[in-house]
Parts: sequence; structure tokens; C-alpha cells
Amino acid sequence: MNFKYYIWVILLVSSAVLLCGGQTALAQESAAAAAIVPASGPLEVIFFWVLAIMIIGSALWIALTGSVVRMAVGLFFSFGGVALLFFLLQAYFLGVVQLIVYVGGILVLVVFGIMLTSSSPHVRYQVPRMELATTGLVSLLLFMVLGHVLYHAPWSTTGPQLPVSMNELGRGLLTDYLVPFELAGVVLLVVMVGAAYLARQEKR
Amino acid sequence: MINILGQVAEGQIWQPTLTELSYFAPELVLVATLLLLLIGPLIAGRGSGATLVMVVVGMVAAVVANLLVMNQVVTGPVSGLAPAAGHMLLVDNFSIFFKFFLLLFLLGVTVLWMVGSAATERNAPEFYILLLGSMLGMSLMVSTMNLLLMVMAIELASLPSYALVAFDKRNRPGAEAAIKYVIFGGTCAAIMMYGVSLLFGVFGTLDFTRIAPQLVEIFENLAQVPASKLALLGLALLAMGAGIAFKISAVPFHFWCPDVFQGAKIEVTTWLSVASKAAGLCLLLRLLQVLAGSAHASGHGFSAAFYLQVVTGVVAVVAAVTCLLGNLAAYRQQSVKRLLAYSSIAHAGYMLMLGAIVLTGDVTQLVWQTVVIYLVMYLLMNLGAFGATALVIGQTGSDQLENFTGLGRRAPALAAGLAICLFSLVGIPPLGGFIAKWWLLWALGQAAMQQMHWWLWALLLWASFNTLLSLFYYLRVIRQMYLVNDDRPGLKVPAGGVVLINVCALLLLLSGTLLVNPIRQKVGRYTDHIFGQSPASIVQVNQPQNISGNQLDGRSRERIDTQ
Amino acid sequence: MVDWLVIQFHTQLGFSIVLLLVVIPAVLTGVGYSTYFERKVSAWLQDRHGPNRAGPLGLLQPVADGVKFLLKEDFMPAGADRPLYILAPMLSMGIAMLGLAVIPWGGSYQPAGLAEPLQVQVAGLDIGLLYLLAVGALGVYGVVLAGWSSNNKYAFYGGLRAAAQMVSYEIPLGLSILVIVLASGQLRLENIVEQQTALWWGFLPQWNIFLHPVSFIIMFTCVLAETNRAPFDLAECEQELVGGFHTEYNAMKWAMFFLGEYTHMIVGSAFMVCLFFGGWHVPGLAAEQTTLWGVLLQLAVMGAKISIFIFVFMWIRWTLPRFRFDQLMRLCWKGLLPVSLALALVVVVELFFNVPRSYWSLIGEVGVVAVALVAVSLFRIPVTGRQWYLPDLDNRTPLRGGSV
Repeated sequence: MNFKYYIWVILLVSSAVLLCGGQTALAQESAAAAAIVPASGPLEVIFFWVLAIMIIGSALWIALTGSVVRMAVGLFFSFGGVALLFFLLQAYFLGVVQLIVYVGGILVLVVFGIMLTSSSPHVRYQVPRMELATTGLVSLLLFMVLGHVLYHAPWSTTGPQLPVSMNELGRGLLTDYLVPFELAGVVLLVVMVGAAYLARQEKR
Repeated sequence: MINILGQVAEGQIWQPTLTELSYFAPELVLVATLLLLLIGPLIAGRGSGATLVMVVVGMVAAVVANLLVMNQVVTGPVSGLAPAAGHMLLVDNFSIFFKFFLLLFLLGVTVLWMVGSAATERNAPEFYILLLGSMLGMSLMVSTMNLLLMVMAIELASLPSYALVAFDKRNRPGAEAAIKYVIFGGTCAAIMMYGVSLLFGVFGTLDFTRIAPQLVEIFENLAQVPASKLALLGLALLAMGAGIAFKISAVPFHFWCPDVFQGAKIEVTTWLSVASKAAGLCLLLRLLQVLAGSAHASGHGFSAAFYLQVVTGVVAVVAAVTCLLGNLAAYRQQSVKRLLAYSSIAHAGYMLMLGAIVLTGDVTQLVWQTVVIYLVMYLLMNLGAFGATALVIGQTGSDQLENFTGLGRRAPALAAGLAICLFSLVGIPPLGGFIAKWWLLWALGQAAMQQMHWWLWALLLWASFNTLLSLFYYLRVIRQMYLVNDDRPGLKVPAGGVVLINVCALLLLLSGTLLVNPIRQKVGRYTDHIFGQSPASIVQVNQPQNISGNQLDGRSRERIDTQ
Repeated sequence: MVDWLVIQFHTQLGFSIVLLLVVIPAVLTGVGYSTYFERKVSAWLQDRHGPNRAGPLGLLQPVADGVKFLLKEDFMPAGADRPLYILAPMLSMGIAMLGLAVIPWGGSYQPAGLAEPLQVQVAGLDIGLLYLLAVGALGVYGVVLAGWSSNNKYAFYGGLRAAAQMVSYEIPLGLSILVIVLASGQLRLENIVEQQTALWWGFLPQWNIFLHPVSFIIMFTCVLAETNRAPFDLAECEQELVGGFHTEYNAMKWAMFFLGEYTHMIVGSAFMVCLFFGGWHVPGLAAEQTTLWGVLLQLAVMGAKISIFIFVFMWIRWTLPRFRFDQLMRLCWKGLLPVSLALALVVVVELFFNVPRSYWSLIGEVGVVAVALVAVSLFRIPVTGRQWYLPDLDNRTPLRGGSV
């Protein structure tokens, strides 16, 4: 019997939709009551841990699996989890940009590239055990250092108040951040020329 | 309905005025040249000649624009194009110098390209679009005080470089080098962005002018600042340092350098060897300067701030190791391109020493003057050396040392020019390289005298010792040219190339002798009013336009200021 | 936590949860009947009867199909990548359903005891439109992973084609949506709908279709391509690839691909209805209805508009022949992309002169098309992929045994 897949999907979708809906509803209410959204409502805490486990788990999967396509799938869940995390933090625009750019754009190209270049669908990459041990050790050390420092760090709390409305964001891009915005255009143009040149077939 | 024009007219929407834009004319001219190179070939064809005309037009326009801007900002730094975000784009005397520097270098590379590969090049517009793109990125690296723009400028400088390294598609080592460069560069950029995000997390702003006062505060009560904050700051600086060290090819991040230099086309190698390193170095100096200026403004100078000493120590150790490694590794090389690559790593180490002493805070003016002189001399020396190598490659097809055998007899003018450039790279008087190194040692000595730290003296001795070390591998090339005899036929080198190399050699010779004093006087012109020598000067930058009456911007500024 | 839930329940969150519980089953039922509808429409177009055995008029056919799918043997090809093989249909369906969250189904409802009206929408995101675009972009994964994990050449080619097609058609889709975003200055779907409820001359609703017909055509084309519907169903075209990406699937997993495809169609139709056809707006009624009956009427109108779109999808599928892959790519990159870029540019100009949402939009759109037509006919630009437009015929290699 295969009911189970069906039920999983519905549960998954419902929770994702609930996350968006719940967040928006909370935001609307707090805006109406001029109150600050509690940073640790029960829904948020639950969703945070679910997302954290999803992001880290899929990241680990990327590192440990041998098949490149499975790595890409891991990346899919990792990126998607980060996008949902943005949603949880009410940075909707960032979340959507993460989805459109990384999941919908870059990752599709990665998968496409893997499929076009792989000689056989079942090539596995074996990491030598020694290498695994050293990288694991280094990663662990890095994690400990970073984790310790970041956990105890006194973060600045003076950032812009979320959620930032799209209007504000757009004006910001075209006033204060006009130069980086335009420069991004130049970067993309130049890079596009370079990529087109490298990809173009040389006529003999 | 939204009435855009009406809102602009009422000042509800900020838009740059013509005056404000005029300060950034050189950058705009560069972008315009890029577009011209993109559209022009549709009309004028894709030949090298037409491309060259367009590039020269763009370069002349950029020089003129830069001259005009230079006359406008004599009084001090100007920033603009961002109503409330602080110093997004910045024009001061040093950034103007740097643009001149890049344009001069572009001219040299163009001559090299004309002599070498212009005749057979079928993709000239793309080559120059990429080259100009990376040049724009480099010039922006030196003219911003905003971390976001800094990261983007570094990307704009790097990404076209990757493509440039792989530009010759028939050259497999080039493709391999490009892959190495991309992977290395991408990783370093990612680390740097992580550092930037940490800095944003600590300070809540991306603008250095807003970070500086907070730094002053930190330095004022260094004892009370929680260790975790300092650790975080250190982590952020370390991560940012990784990105910059990659651009300068300082030691733990130098692995790409020899492979890329060997694999790429020689024009590209020349370009990367000077421009990319110079931009990275100047960016580093600007960042360190803000750190140093903040420490001094807090009243607790270098000697009191242990934190600053740690940062200095790291920079100094990296500089010292970079020097040594570059000089030692150069010995074993048979490929002259690789040899020059290691030599450029060693020179990056010398220049990085300036980064160490800028933090002592007492000799900043001297440091900037040294940077200006060193960069100009380094440009001439490298252009000459790489140019000569390019000519030899062009005639013999390879850059192995044995192809230089008897060059003194086979192509006397070329050999003479190359010899002068190599001697200058060592730092032998009375050449320009000697003057550069003299300023460097002088600055180190001054810093040592004022701080009386033993390690500054050690650094000075180390630089001298490394100069001595480097003498021998440069001499290997010269020995091969003049003292090893065999009966290879003479080389017919293109006259333009020989002229270029000998102009470089002549300028080096002159700058070490007749022009010493004029240079010293001229150098002050580009190094006074440098942005960020102290937090006081950071705050006093002229805003070209008074926009405080602007309602919208007032609101957003208020939001930032109340934080 | 219980207290907190009780407080929430009388508000938007509670309403959203209830709506969610209604919308998902409703859409899934709709999907079931879409398959029935599809078979009926195809039968009608081909002069046949279609399903007519299960129940009156064959109306119980979807139920019978569902039971069959659930009870069938569920096998997996040898050498399949097991986790991905199972994951692919789940992704395909799950992602398609994510889009349902931001569709404004029926305006807002004002119950008697509440101060604030409740949105008949699961999540009123500030960037609802971008969200739909993003979720649409994810749709490709199910297909691609299915193609990869089946360990089958046909499936693999189907996946590759789907990836290339979706990445390409994303761009004109985004640009044609950008036209509406720029003209209306909104990213919230409910606000875009509300903007269209006004009337011209007292009777003609201000739907965007009257202002931006060309953008609509481009968007419609792209939605067809994004949902893998004919004439863009190259990922599963049976003459070339057996079944394309779902060659190796059967039973409920196969059905989930279909649920995903039809859900995607419904979401896409709802998207287009909201952007161009006034969403829940009832033609003839000027203002939004917030009473219970008014909301129900609006829901019904929305459903009717979506149904019409679904019918058009099917009509096209059973009428038009399939594109060749190079034609598909050429149409996107050389046809739709330049035109939609030009349209976006025209809207920016209109915005500059402060005349968006006026007859100037219509003039601009028609003008762009006219210029494009003139250019195509004068310079013989190879857009459609017809043989005589293709450049240097001599350079192509003939198939074995054939000639160019």
C-alpha cells in the first residue's frame, strides 16, 4: 500500500502553508496592536527546530553521500530550509529571493550540468577514509571555534526593524544602495560576456 | 497612482544631481566604454584595430575625466551617490592616483597586446570588455568605504579575471589554471563575505564611517569590552583578511598565483601581477587605516592597545613569510613566468609590511607615500620584465629559461631593458626599484624609531635580508642572457615591444637618479587628505549635495542615527 | 499554548487554518474531476464518448481511478536511485500545492462580531506574487529527479528537456508578470485584484487583460510551458520518449505526478485570473462584497474563471501539435524574451510619464507587437523555427540514410 506518501505530502504542505499563514497573521495582528511579535512563540520555536534539523541534516547529507545528484537534492532541502527560515524571521523578500535565485535558478543549472556531464548515472565518489577523518576534524574544530564565538557574541540589535515593506526596500535599492544596485548590473553584464565567450563554439 | 516625476520634483524621491555624478565621471566613462565595446563591433566590425580605437577613446576620456575630478577635489575627499547610507563611493586624492595608475598600466598592457597577439586575436572586443570590467572593479575597490560595495567591487575585479585566464581557448593549461583560480577565488570570496556579515552583525551597519565611532568606543574601554566581542571582531577581520590576502596572493592564499601566471596569456598575467595585487593592497591599507585611526582617536594608541598589536603581528608575520616563500620558491623555477610569479609574491610581501606599520598610526602619511612610489615602480618593473618575457615567448614559443640563453647577443636592446628591470626588481641603486625599497625601509625604520618595538626592527632587517636573497634568482636570468654562450640565431623582436621595455627601463633609471626629487614632491600631491586617517577626518568628508531638507531621506537617516 | 491557540482561533490565523483544511481537499477533488473533464473534452474534440461507465455520465470515474491507483502493485525498477525515486513524485505534488497558499480566493469576509474583516486567503504575503513565481520555479525538481532516478534513458531525456524548458520559460514569465507589477505598483495579489474591480464608463471592469493583452498571451504561453502541457509537453512526449520522465512510474506514485500537474494548472490559472481577469471580481458588481453570500458568490466566480482556463488548456492540448525542441527554445529566447523585455520597457516609459493603466498601455503593447511583426517579416528573423528561416542549412548533418 502506498497511502503513506500521499499523507506525508499533505502534512508537509500543510505545515509549510501554515508557517506562511501563521506568520502573516501574527504580523498583521502585531501591526494592528502596535506590539512587537514575540520572538519565541510556540509555533516559531517548533518551526525553528524543524527547519534547523532539516538544514543541517541535508547539509550533512551533501557532505557524506557519494552520488552527485543526491548532493544536489541535499542542497535543495538546505536552500529551501534557509528560505523558510527567512520566512520565519518575516524577511519574506529574502526568502523568496533565496528560492528564486538559489533553488529555482542556480540549483537547476547545477543539476542540469551534472546530468549533462556525468558519464553514468551511478558513479559514486568515494572519499578516502584518511581524508574524511582530517576534514571531519578540521570541520569539528572550526565548528567549535565558530560556535563558541558566535554563541557568546554580543550581537548588534540596531538593524532595521522587520518586516521591511517592499516599498521601503525598493526605495532603498534606488537611493542609498543605488551604486551597488547598478554595479550589480555591470557585474552581471561583464560576467555574461565572459560566459558567452567561453561557451561559444570557436569557428574554424 | 504613483507620480514618479512629481515625486522627484518635490524631492520626495532622491535622485543624483549632475554635480554629484560628475565626481564619479571616470567610473561612468569606463562603463560607457564597456557598452561602446559591446555595441560598437556591430557597426565597426570585430577587428582588433576598431577595438583598439574604441579602447583608446575610452582611455583618453577616462584620463580627461580623472583630471577634471582631480581639480575639483583638491580640498579633500568627496563622497556621494548615497543620500543616507554614508560613504558609498568616495573620491580622494589617492583614489584619483589609483585610477591614473590603472589607466597607465592599461596603456602598457595594451601596447603589449598590440605587439603580441593583436594580429591573430579574433575576440578583441570580449578581451577588452573583460579587462575593462576588472579594471572598473579594481578602481572601485579603492574608492569605497562601504563593505557591501567593497565585496561587489572585489567580485567585479575577480570574475572577469577568471574568464581572462581561460581566454585562449586552445590553451589547456590556461583552462586548468582558470579552474584553479575560480575555485580558490570563490572560496576566498565566500569566506570574506562571511566576515563581512559578522562585521554587520557586530556593528549593525555596513558603512565604515559608522563603524569607526563604534571602534573608537571599543578602544576607549578596551578593558570592559567583553572578550567575546573582541573574539568575534577578530574572527571577522581574519575572514575578511582571507579574501584580501587572496587578491594580494599573500602566503596561505598564494597557491593560485604561479599556476595562473603560467597558464594565462602573458598580457593577462601582466595585468593580474600588478593591478589585482595593487587594488587588494590599497583596500587592505584603507581598512587597517580606519582601525588605526580609531585607536588613536580613542586616546589609547598603538602601544596601549594589545588588540591592535595582535592584528599587526598577524599582518607582519604574513608579510614576512610571504617574502621568504616567494624568494625561496623562485630559485627552483625553470619557467620565467613562474619565476616572475614568485617574485611578485615576494613583492606582495614587501608591500604587506606597510600594512603592518600602518597600524602603529604614527607614520600613515609616509606609508601612503611609500605605497604610491612602490606601486609606480613596481608597475614599471613588472611591465618591463613581463613584456620582455612576452617578446621572447612570441619569438621562441616558450618561456623556459634556456630560451633566454645569449639574449644579450641575440637581441641586445631587449636584453638590456630586461636586465635593468630585473636589477630594479632586486632593488639595486640607482634604479627605481631601489628608490621604492628605500622608501619602504625608511618607513619601517621610522615606525621602529617611534614605537621602539624590537619586531619592527626585525621586520626591517628581514626585508633587507630578503632583498639579498632575491638578488640571486634574478641574477640567474641575467647570467643566462649574458654569460652563457651558445650559437643560437639572433631574434627579430618587434620594435614596439622593445620600445615599451626600454621606456620602462629608462623611466626606472631616471626615477632613480634625476627624478628623485620631483617624484618626492609629486607624491605628496596624491597622499594628502587621504580619507580615513583618523575618525575625525572620516566624519568631515564633504557631502557634495545638501540633502537634509529631503523628507524621505531625513526619515531613513533618522532611523539609522537613533540606533 | 492552549490559551494562545484559543486567542488565535477567532482571528486570521484560525480562519487561515480552516480555509487550508477546506482548500486542499477542494483542490484535490477538483484535480480528480479535471482528469475526468480532460477525457471528456478530448472525446468531444475527437467525436467520441469518453468515460461513461462508472456512475451517471461516468461521474464516478475519478473515484474508481483513485481506488485503482491505491490498490495497484507498487514496483520499482532495478537500479533505480531508491530515495530519489520515491522523493520525486512527492516533490512534484507537494511543490505544486504550495502555491495555493497565496491565492486570494474570494476577497474578504466581514463576520458580524469582528472589527477586522478576514481575508479569504491562507496567507496574505507582502510579496505574494513573487512567492508564486518562486514556487513555480521549484516545479521542475520533481520531473528532473524522476528522470534521473528511474535509471532509464527515456526518462532521463525527459528530465533534461524539462529542466532546460523550465529554466528558459521562467524568464519571459517573470518579465510578463513584471509588466503588471510595474503598472499596478503592487506585489500583493489581493491588491492587484482589488485594483481591477473599478469600472470604466460604468460597465467595463478595469481588468488588466484590456490593458495588457500581449503580456497576457506571453504569460499564458509560459504557464503552458511551465506546467508541461501540450504543445510544450516535450518532457513526456509519447512518440519520442515513451512516457518521458514518468516512464518507470506506476500506481499512486504515477498518480501523484498527475495530481501535481493538474494542481499546477489550477494554481497557474488562478494566478492568471488574479493578474489579468480581476480574480474574484464579479463583472457588473462594482464593489467588493463582504457578506457571507457575497463571498460565496465571489468564490464561485473565481472557480468559474479558473474552470474556463482549464478548459482552454485542454482545448489547446487536443488541438495543437507539439513543438520540436529547437523550435521551443527559439520561440522562448528569440521570440518571447525580446518581446516581453520590450513590453517591460514600454511600461517603464508609461510610468515615467505617469500614464500606467490608461489607454497608453494598450497602444504600447500593440505597438511592440507591430514592430516585432515588421522586424520579423523584414529581416526574416528565425523565431518560429520554420525550415526556411533557419540559417546555413548546409551545415547541418543529415540523419543516417536521409538528406537535408
